[in-house]
Amino acid sequence: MSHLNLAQIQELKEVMEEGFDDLVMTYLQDSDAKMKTLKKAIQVQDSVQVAEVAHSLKGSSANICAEELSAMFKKIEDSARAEELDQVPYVFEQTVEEFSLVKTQLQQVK
Amino acid sequence: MDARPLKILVADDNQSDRMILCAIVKKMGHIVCEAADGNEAIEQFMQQSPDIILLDVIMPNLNGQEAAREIKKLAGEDMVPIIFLTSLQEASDLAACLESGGDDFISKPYNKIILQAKINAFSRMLKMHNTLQQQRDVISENNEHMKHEQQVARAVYDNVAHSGCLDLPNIKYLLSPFSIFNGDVLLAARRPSGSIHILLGDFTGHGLPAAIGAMPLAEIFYGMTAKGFLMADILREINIKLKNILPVGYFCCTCMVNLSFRKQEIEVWMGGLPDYGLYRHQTGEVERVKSNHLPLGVLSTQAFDASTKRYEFLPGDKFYMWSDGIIEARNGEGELFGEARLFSVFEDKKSEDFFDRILSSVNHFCGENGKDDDTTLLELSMVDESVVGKVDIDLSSGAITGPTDWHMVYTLRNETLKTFNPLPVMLNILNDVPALRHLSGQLYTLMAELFSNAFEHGVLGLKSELKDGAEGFAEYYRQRGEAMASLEDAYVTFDFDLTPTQKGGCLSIMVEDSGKGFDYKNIKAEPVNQTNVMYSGRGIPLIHSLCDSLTFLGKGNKVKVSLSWQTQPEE
Amino acid sequence: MPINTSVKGDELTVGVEGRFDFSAHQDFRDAYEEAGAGISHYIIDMAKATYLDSSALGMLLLLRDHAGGDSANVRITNCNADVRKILTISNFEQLFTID
Repeated sequence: MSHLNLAQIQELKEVMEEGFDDLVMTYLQDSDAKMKTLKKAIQVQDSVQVAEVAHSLKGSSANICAEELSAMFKKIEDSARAEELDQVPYVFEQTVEEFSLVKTQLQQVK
Repeated sequence: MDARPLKILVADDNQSDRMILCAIVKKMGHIVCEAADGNEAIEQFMQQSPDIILLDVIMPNLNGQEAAREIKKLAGEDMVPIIFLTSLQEASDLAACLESGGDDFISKPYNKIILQAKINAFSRMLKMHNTLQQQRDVISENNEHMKHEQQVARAVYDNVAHSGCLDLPNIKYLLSPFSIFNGDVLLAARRPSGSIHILLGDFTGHGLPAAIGAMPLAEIFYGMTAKGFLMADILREINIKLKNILPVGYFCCTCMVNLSFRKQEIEVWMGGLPDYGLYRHQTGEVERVKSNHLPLGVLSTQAFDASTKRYEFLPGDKFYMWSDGIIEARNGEGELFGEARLFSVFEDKKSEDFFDRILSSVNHFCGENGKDDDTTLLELSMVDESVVGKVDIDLSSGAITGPTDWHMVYTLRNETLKTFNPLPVMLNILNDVPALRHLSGQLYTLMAELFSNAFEHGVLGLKSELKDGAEGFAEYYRQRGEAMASLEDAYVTFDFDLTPTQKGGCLSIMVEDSGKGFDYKNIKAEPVNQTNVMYSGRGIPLIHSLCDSLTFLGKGNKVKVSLSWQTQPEE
Repeated sequence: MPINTSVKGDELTVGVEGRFDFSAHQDFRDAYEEAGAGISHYIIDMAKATYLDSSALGMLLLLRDHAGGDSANVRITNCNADVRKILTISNFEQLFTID
């Protein structure tokens, strides 16, 4: 099963042309950093920051065609906005896993 | 797509998202500038003046909504479309974006086609907005320019078409402050004889054509009235002037009135105006005075009819003139005030302040909708001449010294007698004598009386007693018309002789007519006295009161008067 | 205020509908200017005209001018009371045949 929308990623490659590699790298670095911030925020139960970071990751993941990953961040964002953080650590673990799969696939698409 | 590339600001804190957006926008052929938060977005906006802004909602430092608010404030009346980048789904969040100045949304993941469509739509809107703004600026500049020109035009107009003697105590009037540009003209001036000329004109079309036409009209009116010309001459002159200068289809609906205190009558010429009202003090009745001519400026001189109608005008009688602005005043329902309502004001006889009642009736009718801007109304009352005072003669022009020793004979025959008024010409010559200019009013009356005696009673043989009764008045003018039609070998000769004296001068005038003369032996030529004002009976007492001596000669068809004056003041 | 025209031989009939005012200016002018040279008689049919103002009077004078001035042959027909009154006040019967 693919972790990226392949039709979409094709379109994105056409738009970005030679900037595509750069984009992937930026996305991965940026997301790595944000994942760390998100993890800490979850640990201290800062629901405002959780929502904010998850929102950002949701958007950028959608743009990079990682639909499943984006949906997971949306789940975290929604829970944080509702201030129901109980399930969030569990979802976050799944997210870490999905992110690494997306990472691998993105590097293959390059 | 539009040939001109737009400058588009992309403001998003997420770097990868920003890269994608920038790439899409560049691919479309536009120029991109970037910002990573709200503060940077504002900075970029001020430095780069982008045409369209793509703005993320949630950003560190200053969020998108706050930035949008600030940018819209800075943009003022320039149009800067802001498209929010959002994956917000709550309606209330979207509403907050719109409220902060957003014009549209686009959500992640970015869709190239949708983004392109939106940018193109805003590009068209911008173009339209800029065109409108430019046109608006041009219009407002032109408007400013025009307003200034109108002010200048107004000043020139006021100098030419001044209100003359509208401030006399027997005249009440209301004239729209914008009258020159709505085509209404109201003029009043006194003739050397003391009688009053009034002219109300209503030009077709508004604005400049009307104001331009009004100027020669006013100049002719004031110039000829001051020189003693009769209404018919003045109207003929105005008519041909307007006919010559106005394009076909433009004309001036006009009413001109001559109020004569001595004859106690008004003479009216009306063309193209609604009925006017003549209020009779004695009976409380209102007579409608109707237009029986085409407006001025339509007919050629050959076809122009300057004939007037005369109405007896006794003390307390009032004549009302109005522009169609009164009749066409509308109320909230768009209904016209109309002629019936106007004339019904006269039915209430509790007082005679019809002027004020007409105005309050119109205002009451119009209610909130009321606009008095187009209202021109004038009331002319008959009063004793002493109430309005003497005519001011303009002494400012003309030579100080003038002819002081001369003789002149002027004979008018047949057709000329019927159609020509010789008084202005003769008075012009007499007015060259500086000392006589001071006596201009007196001299006019004197000449007018002498001429009318010689022509009406002498040449035409009319009996002055006829004019005593109201019916006789009409009969007099009937007989006059008859006698005019069968004129043969008629003449009136004026013989002027001006000689200097030690301290001033002496003018003697001999007038001879072709009539049968009359038995003057029984006439007591006494000066008129205040309690016994008699105007008919050949006006002899009046004539006598205006000169030093009066002598009838021959069979009564010759009369000689003399008038002397001193130029050096007596010690 | 639509303006309708019809030509019968050398006679042009111009029908005026509704308010006859400045807005009719161009149409009215076109009506007689485009009718061609063969026209010597003009009829203005006011049957459907509800009102006319002073600029309409001006347009009638322009038509009269176009039709030969003092030798013009222009008839104004089917006037309602309001229209008739305005023509009467202006003494236009001195210039036009009004019936």
